[in-house]
Amino acid sequence: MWSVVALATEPVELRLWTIPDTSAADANARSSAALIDLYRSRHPEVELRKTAGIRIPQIGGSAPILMAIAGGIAPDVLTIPQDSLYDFVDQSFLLPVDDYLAMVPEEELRERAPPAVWDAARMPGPDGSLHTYAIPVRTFTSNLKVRHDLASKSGVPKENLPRTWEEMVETARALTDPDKGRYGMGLPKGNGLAGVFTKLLVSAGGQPWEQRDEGPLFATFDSPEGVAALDFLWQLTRGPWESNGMIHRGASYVDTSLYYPQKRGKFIMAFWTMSDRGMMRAADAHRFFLLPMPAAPNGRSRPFISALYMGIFAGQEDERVRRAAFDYIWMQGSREGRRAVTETLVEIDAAINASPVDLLQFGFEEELRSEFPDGYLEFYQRSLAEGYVSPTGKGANEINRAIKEAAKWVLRSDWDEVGAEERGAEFGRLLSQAAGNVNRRLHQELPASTLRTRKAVALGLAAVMFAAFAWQLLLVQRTYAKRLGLTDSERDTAPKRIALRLRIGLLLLPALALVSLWEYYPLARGTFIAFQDYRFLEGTRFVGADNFVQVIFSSFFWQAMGLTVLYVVLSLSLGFFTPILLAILLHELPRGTVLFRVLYYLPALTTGIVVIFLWKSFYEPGPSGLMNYLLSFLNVAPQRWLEDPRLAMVSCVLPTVWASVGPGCLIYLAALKSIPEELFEAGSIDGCGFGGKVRHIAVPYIRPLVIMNFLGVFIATFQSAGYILVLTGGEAMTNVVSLEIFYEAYARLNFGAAVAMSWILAFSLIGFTLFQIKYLAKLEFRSAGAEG
Amino acid sequence: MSFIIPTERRHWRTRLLYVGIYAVVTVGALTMVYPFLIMLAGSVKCRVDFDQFEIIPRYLFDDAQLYRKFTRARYNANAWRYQIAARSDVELFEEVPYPERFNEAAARDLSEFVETRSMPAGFLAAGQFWESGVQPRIQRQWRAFLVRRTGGDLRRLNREFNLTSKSWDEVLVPEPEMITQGARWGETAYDRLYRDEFRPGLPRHELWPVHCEGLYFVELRRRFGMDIRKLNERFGTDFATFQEITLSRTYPPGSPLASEWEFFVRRLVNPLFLRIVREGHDAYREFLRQRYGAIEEFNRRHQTDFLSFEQAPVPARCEEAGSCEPDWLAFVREGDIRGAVVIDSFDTRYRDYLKRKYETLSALNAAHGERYGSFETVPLRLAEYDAWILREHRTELRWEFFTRNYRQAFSFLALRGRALWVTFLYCTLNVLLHMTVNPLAAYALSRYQLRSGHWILLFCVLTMAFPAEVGSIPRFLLIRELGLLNSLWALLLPGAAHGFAIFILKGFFDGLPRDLYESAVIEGAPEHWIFWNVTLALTKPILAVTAFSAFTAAYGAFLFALIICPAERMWTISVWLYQFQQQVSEPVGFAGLVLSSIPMLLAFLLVQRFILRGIVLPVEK
Repeated sequence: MWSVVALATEPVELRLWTIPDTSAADANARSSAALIDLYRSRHPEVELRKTAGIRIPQIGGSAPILMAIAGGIAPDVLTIPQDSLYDFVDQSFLLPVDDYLAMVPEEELRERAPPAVWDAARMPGPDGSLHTYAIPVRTFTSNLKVRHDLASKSGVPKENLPRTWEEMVETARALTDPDKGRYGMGLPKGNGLAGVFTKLLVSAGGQPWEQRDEGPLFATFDSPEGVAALDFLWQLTRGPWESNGMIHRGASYVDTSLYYPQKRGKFIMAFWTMSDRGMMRAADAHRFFLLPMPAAPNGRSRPFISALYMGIFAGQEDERVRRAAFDYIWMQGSREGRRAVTETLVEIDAAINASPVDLLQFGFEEELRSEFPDGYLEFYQRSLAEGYVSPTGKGANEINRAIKEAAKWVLRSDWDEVGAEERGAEFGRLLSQAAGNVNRRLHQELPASTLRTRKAVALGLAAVMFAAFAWQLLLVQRTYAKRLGLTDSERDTAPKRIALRLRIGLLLLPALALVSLWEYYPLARGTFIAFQDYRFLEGTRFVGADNFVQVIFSSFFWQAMGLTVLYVVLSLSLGFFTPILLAILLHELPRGTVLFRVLYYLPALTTGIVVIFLWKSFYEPGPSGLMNYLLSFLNVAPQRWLEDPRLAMVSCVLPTVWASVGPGCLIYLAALKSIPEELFEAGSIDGCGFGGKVRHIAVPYIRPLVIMNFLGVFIATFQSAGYILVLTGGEAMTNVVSLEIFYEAYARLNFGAAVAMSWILAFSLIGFTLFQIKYLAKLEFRSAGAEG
Repeated sequence: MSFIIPTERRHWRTRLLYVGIYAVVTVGALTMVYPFLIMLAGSVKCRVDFDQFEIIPRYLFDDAQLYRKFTRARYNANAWRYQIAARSDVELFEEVPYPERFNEAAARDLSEFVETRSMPAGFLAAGQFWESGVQPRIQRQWRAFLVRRTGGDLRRLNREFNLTSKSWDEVLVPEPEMITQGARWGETAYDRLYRDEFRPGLPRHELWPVHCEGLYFVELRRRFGMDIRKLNERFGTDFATFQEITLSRTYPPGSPLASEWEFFVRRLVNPLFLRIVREGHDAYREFLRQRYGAIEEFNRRHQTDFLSFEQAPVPARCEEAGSCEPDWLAFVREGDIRGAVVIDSFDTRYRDYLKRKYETLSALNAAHGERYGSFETVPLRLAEYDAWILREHRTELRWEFFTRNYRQAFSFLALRGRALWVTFLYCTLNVLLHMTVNPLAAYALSRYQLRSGHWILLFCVLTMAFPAEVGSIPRFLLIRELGLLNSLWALLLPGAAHGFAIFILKGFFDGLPRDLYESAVIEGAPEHWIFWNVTLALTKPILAVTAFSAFTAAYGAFLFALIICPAERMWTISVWLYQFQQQVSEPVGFAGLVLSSIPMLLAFLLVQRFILRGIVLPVEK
């Protein structure tokens, strides 16, 4: 048995992304514990530490690890989904592991994963030659998971479970009973839905993308197989059908996570993946049954294989830690590790959670026979042997994103008005449009002239932008020079003594140094980064206006821009005038002003994040959501506040509006208070009513405040992202530009494009900031309490 | 002064206007206050009553509600366990009926039996140690016990007991689910510490009896699809409900449900609750003979040297079987258990206890005021026993449910690691920095009218020409390159100097009467005295508001703090709160929200008398 003998006994600290939970008694935790115990006994000198990055539920995939790397808390062992392998290598985050693998017996490599899975982690590095960069730790194959107990109870016995797509639609409908809250099919949302689409597409013989040459991948999901898969998904989620005189739509339960809903019997069938660390994992054979992927209309049924990899963080310089990291990764699927896991599982009577192949290999034929239904072993082995592994390369994540958007877009509409034939044509058109877009973006396979035009446009825009900013600076400087300079410079009372000059300098120094370092330097730096392909570790280079080309010719960006405008309009129309009106009303109250002032100020006594969490809980779609509870009094059906694209944006705006009414109102109240009393008396004498006095006396008096506030709020709202991140994470049509910038920078580490976006955002505000600063020059400030 | 001057107030139209205004602001105020009341009420609730949105939690005065919450906690939030204990059909704790009046004598007997008799540890199961997203009482006590033992050192705990807990939240009560067939006491040092040292110290009423007859009921009900007619059809019986079916202690020959009894004993019940009686010894030995063929084989396997199977021991209970446990279990599964194996559980021992105590059935019936058919069919009435406990410990339970969310939130947000300390430092230093850097610069510009003064001021104000978003990413990269990520400096420095604040402050300082300075200088006051006692003293309200907003900005910073300081040791309370919300149930989350608002409230109270006066208003020149 192979393992590295510890050369020194001084402790090594190995930082992991997570340490598996071993405290629970379930099979999962026990098998993890077996591995940890084994590792500890082999490497007593290694202390395992968890790097505690924050978990943001809306950000999936490899983004959390990228954020940890950005935040300077990268773990030594990186966990990488297959589709992100290329990006990690490209960013030089991964250390080649060839030297370590050379020490491992050939057959163990073969046992660990199919050759195609190994190949996916092999690619040319920065030095130009091929290396293996990561080691598979889990291999997944696609299949169909069925609650056969419920199915047979509903009249579909095991032998009648569907074998083809057509049968599946029929069976799903037959098993659906919305009144009982039970559905035939369970489908995931968002990224998961794109995953199901890919599984189906591959099953029908298609490929999501291809590697045609050295360059980026080519999206090929718009093949006839893709169209068929999408149509099949549409039938499952939206397709209309009739039973008992009722028209139903779709036969699916849709949720972010399907594991528990299926256990609770919410639905019967779901597309699933079985892992080499146990195909049934935490399921029980009495209730669940695994079937091969059903056959597509063209008769094909091919499993889709994907894998999870681990690699060593290249930023780790210490060879002993690297070695410890490799050993840790290796043990996750080495013969020794698998044996330990299998033995533990058999021991605790949970052989069903073990891999059937491992049971066979380590001499537990009896358990294999008694626990697993007949044919599972062969089914599993066949899946591994025949399965399709998609190639890795530049652009896998972009193509996945395009797939997700296309699938979401198609499945959002009913498509009632078109017939089946036309629907297929329409889906084909949409898919090829999406594939075409992403291919053009990846390959820039545009005619040279278009490409030139685009570059010219981007360069032109950049030039106009920076010229505009320069002009703005000049303009503001002139305005202020006039206002601030001339009056004062005539009487320079500053003492001439050196000591005092020094003291003045000292007083000013901190402020000036901080402003230069944290305001001006980043601005200058940002100007450069906008024209760079910025990398953390190595390889930053200038790319001309490419970032701007990427941003301004991306539909995501302009969609985000549109959403930003919507967000600002909603925020201001709901939230800007309310405090002014409220202040005027409160100002009028002969009694109780203080009480009301305090009540309206309540939300400001907590922090913004508290307000957001409070509202997030009110928006709960289930019975624990206050908003739906209140709606029930009006006999309105419960809403999915943060998931329905029609409601999500308003739902994001409301909490901020709610929380800012009080503090906003306080400022206007202070302003109203400072209006001299005589003005009102004069107004009454002139015969002004209430409205007249508001119009002719109050409004002119508080106008500067209103204008300044408006500009401030407008500019701030344009850039706010944090609360939307917490509420929706940008899903359901709430992905405003600032949030897009956040994701682009910290979750995709694409800093160049992110900075370019922020410049464009700033540029779109240029008129407002200019006006703001110029108007500022015309104002003077008083404290509300100073007089009146 | 108001728009409506005093002389106009009496007019009827004005009065109508007032009514309208009051109506509007009152409705508005309600929408402000209501969510807060919901938050406060929600923060002392649990899953059972959270969805009911009443402002004053009902369990504070309604025992039925308290009972539902109590049962949920007692049965560790699993309705299946309640169904077993109460032999009930109820699927949700929200629907658990409260036995308002119950058989006092029977409950007292149960209580007496539980409190005074000794029985194997597995006959009573611990409650209140697991609820999703909540830390119930026993869970808390167990952690406190471990903290005392290890001095609060998680690493020491991990080392000593070979655990891998990353935080105290992952330290769980290692109590097996005794009802299920495969459950056994764990044998690690950690399990033993729990079972032998911690658990015996618990008051007995914190434990609930494992009710085998209840399991029989639940399993029968499940196997026959919740439909008693199906069962009657199958066995030719005429039960009205599943509750009528009793579980006999021994194999009931001739009973229509004998096969069900056998299935239950062989397949469903935990062998811990079985016993081989003297009459079964022959059957057991016969089973061994068949299993091993020859005694030599048995000796080889068990390292014994018996001459024949007649000498082989017959362990009465599974726990006593030691190395023979596989034989024992195989016998229960496959051997001839009729008449050999009996149920020996809490149920049967309680009935034996009643028999010893009352001796005759009529004495028991007289004492309980019931008409039981025999000692063997005395029902256990555990739901009523729970109500009895509730009555005895009502105040304590109410207090527990009222405070437990806050205890959990407090221990998470305040006691964990450095959250409180980091936040305190960040807020204080942020206020101090803001209050030194900016006023000092403004003072220098205002007091000594430098020739280059307007250039300096312009330099500060011009940063406004670029929306904050533009600088944020390069600023992050700068922090990264300076090696300041995950440090307090990264939180403090970037926002410390604020051009606009300098601009405003300078304006105010300019407005102060200049002769104050002159007379101070003539009297020989040092510069810092002038700064402190003249300049700052005269602009107190504005400074107070500036300080308050510096505090608010630091205390509420979330996305910024998250990006700059992703390492756990540098998380501020806002970031912890974000993490907390993802881990806990909603009521506990609300408690966290309330707790984290307290510092803001205190800061506000501190400056509230300045706030209105300190607001800065722009006026056209």
